[in-house]
Amino acid sequence: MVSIVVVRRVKPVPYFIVPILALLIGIGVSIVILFFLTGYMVQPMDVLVSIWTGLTQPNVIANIFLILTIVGFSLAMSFKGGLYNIGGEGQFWMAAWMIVWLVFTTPIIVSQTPLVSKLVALATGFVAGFAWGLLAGILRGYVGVDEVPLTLMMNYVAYYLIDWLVMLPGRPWRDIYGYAKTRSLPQTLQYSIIPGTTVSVEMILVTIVIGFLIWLILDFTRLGLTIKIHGSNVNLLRSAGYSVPLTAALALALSGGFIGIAGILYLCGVTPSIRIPVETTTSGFGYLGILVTWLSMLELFAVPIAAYVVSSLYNAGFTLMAIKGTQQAGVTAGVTNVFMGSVLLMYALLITISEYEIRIVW
Amino acid sequence: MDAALTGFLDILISSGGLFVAFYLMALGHSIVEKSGILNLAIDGMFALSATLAFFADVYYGNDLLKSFLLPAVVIALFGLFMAFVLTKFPVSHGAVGLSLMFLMYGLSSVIGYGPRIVQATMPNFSPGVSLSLEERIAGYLTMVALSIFAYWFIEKTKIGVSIKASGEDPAAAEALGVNVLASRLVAAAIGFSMIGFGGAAYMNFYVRLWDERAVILSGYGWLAFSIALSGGRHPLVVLLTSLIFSMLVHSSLQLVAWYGISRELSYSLPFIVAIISMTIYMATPLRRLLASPKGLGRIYFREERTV
Amino acid sequence: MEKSSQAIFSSNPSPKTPIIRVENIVKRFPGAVALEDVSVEFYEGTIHAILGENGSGKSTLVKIMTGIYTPDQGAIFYKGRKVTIENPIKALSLGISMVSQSPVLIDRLTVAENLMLGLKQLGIFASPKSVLKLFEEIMEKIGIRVDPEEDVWKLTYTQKQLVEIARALMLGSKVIILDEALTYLPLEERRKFYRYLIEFKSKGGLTILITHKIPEAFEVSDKITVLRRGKHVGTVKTSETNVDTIREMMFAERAKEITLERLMDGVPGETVLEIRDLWVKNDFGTYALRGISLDVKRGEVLGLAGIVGNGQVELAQALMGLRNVERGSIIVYANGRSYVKPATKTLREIGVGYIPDQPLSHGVSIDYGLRENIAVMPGYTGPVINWGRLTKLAREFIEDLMIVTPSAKTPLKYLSGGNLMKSLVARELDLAKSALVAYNPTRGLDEVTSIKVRRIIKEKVVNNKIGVLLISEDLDEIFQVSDRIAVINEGKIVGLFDAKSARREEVEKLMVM
Repeated sequence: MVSIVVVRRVKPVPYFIVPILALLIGIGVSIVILFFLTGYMVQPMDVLVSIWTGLTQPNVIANIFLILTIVGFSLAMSFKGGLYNIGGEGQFWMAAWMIVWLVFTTPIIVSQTPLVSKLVALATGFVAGFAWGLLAGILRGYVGVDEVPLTLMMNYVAYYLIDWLVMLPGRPWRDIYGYAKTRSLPQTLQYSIIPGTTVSVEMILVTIVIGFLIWLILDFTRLGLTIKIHGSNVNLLRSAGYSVPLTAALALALSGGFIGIAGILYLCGVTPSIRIPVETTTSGFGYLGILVTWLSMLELFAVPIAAYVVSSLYNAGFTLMAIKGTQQAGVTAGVTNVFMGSVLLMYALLITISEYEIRIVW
Repeated sequence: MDAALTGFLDILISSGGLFVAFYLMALGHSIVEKSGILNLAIDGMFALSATLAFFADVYYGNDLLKSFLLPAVVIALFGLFMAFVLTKFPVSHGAVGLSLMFLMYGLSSVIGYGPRIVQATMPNFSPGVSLSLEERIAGYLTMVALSIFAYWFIEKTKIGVSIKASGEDPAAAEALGVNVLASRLVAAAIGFSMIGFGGAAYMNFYVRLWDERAVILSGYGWLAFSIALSGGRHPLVVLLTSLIFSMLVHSSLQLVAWYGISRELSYSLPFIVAIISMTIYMATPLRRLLASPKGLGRIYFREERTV
Repeated sequence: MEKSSQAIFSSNPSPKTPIIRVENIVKRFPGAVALEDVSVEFYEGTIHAILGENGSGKSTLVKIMTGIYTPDQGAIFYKGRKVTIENPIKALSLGISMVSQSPVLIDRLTVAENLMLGLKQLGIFASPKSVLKLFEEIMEKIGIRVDPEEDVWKLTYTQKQLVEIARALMLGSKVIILDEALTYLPLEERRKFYRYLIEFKSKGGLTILITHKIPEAFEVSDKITVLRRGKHVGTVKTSETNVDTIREMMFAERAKEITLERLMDGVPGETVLEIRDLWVKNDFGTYALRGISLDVKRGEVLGLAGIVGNGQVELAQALMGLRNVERGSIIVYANGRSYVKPATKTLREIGVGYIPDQPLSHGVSIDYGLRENIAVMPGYTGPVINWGRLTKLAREFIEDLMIVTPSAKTPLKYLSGGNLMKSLVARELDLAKSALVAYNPTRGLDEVTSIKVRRIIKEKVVNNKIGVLLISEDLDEIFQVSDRIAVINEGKIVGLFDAKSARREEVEKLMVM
């Protein structure tokens, strides 16, 4: 009788082993899946080449990389608190919606200088994301609703709300020609691309500042410590006199706020209008960010590295679609989910070997 | 008054297919979770099972048997894997569940497009069957019978108590002589295949078309999750919550016609109601009366240190 | 040995073949060797005690015998045949069952549902009602009254332990292992079980009794095996040895340091903690405390004795603001004023320390180091954290209590159990400027460390004039540290004594009633 025994390790293995293994095995699994499910249309080489293309052409993935980095940092804040913020999509898009709404209904933003209006836009994004996250945070902290289905369903609510609001007839944000999108943001808000690249100075700056800020909060403030302790031992937090519900609510809200900033960066730096229906046009940064944060093992410095890799994976999906015949075989934007799911699954399984040793006994 | 009653009955009957789908998914999910396995993959499983049912319909000429069996078997296999890994290794239930969810979304999109294109070349082809009034009523009655059987199975048999014990406290259960792995595998085999049947029912009896928005992006798996949770995972109570949601979802289009709210807004309604129902469950004595298993989602690791 | 027609093993039990033999067992845990080359023989028709202090490996040994752990090296022989016991079910199939200190019965199920789980003779579709008859018979035999359709959470600790013994019998066990199952019960309660164990022995059954209390080993056992630091020191016949020899075997050179003698006297001053007519509910909605009134004075230790499950958990939590008070008052006197029903945060700020019953789950975060565990407490940091200052403070604690750790920021999960406890005690004692609520502060620690911790607490009481409420299920500890002793039973205070003049039998009697 063979039996499997699991024992705690004396010293954990170097932490980068797990993400790298997860990536390699996960991509391997994806290759197998795609090969067989598309009737051999997608060859292993195709997949590897498309991933490699992304990795070696930073210009192509630069914007996605920056946005995923911010989302990765933001999610680290809630994940470290033991709270799975799956609502990144909702927080992202509500922030995007908020800026569109503000820009086209009040003169507050557009009447300022470009610099000030961009700053106000970022602040707006933070507030919107914070509010959307706080809603979930209150229900999770004070009522105890599981944040995973809660934040996820709030994504759907956000999608549909925005779909509805954008298409309301006769509103100032409606596209002039009646297309299923909002009007574009004014030039003063749009970021200018650095010549020779695909990114803007604003995006790079904001990403760095946010990363720094989140690091400061988590490692050097009492608030950050309470969030981390919430993720480690809720009872300790309580017996130290802190309000556990408030800590949970704040962790989710802050996480949402910073993701909201990512939403603003997207609108100002990548696509200046919201296209409807949101649920099909979204790139899914809120979900991809989860992969980034987990692959970075919740170590902040590893977030950009993980973001870079995930951007390449995301891009690989599109590269594959461009290959002749694959679209008919089923390769669509959904392919990214195959990559994401496989890598994430391998990560979830392999993370055990970093803390535990697995023995076979007979 | 009469018009309201007729309207109510109309919706009751026409949402029958959706009710069957929701109840099967929610009941299967409840059984799985009673054994202690947190199932966050449910929406992915819903998408994949509906897609597989569609696949079978298109390629096997609307053979309902295959259309139901294929998803049930596939989802059960995934589920058995989940149950095995989560019991034998100290792995996070949430992480495994979510990753399977994404993977299954991806699989659904890859598997679905092929038959969809084939279907486009088959004029007058429609997946599944259009249910008659008698068939819908039979559907309701079958679900009621199923609920009674499930209740007996969980509460009044040794295997059911073993499943419950595994969900409350697997370490204690094992010390009491329960084969926790076997119990969870049994719960998984039954529960996950039911989820597969549920997705197949959705495709064959209700929506009868395949596109991303109807299947992958619908989020109905999460509605089933809330249905199960607010019903306390109790086979009989979940009948009620399934009914409420199936009627609500089905009538959201009606609400567009009656009250003139926009279509998109009506899509958000079921989710808002789901959030409210989960809140009600957690904030009221329901939480204690129909308590969730104490060990749900807890990592089961036997060689723990002692202080 | 009487031969009985209902003999458990054979009609001719041979005293020469051991029923269970463990040979050269080695078991390692991260950073420590729990068992080193241990070999012991157990015979049928015996009550065999395994004595050792906390950390000696005795619990590990029986967990290996019941399939909860697997040995790294070594073999187990059952009736002369080599066996591997890879999980509790295998152990049960061999007829080995265990009753441990904390009941394994599942609270939310009924007694009958719990009992049916291990019974192989019941089919998978059998109803819980099918165990009722068998259970009634056994209840008669052991002499207990428990309603099998009752939810387990409603039973008392003693009832739960008795049900577990009943279960062992229903399963037809040939070997019953009691892992400190009776250690925290008063002698009178233990006697209820002994009656049964002696009968079990007469039918040839083997009882293995694990304990760290020497008197308990002498109460009913035929043989005593002593483990020390994971090694088998020796096995002797109880009738051929005495307490001093056993002490020598258990503690060797440290035997002199280990004493259960009373520590120094406290010097009671003004009241620091005043509890009046306290009513508190438990997790299941019934009253755990029914009108408790107590005073704790500065400069004294008030020990609260009682069997587990009589409201101690709820009292500690209510005092610390972690549980609702339905009726009654709690007043803390500090900083020249009185604080009525202070919130947890306030309590910490005015200097009330808390050593919870389960330090791992309530007292520390094992993912972070000592300095983070200090920083989380109010009063040690402002909104921005000064790690330099905190690291320095942590290093002081490490030095003062001789905590073995690589650094002030090494995650506590890499520390041994004893050092983790010391970290918690160090922090709480530093925080405790007014009072300390300590619940089983030395549970699981080895004797030397336990005595050290108790001494440090008492010194702080006398030197810094704090008041300590010491809640403990270990009566030896209560008598050693307290100045006054109160007894709690079913949520009420049933006795209050001066520690020096209190008689142990009287206290024990009140614990049981």
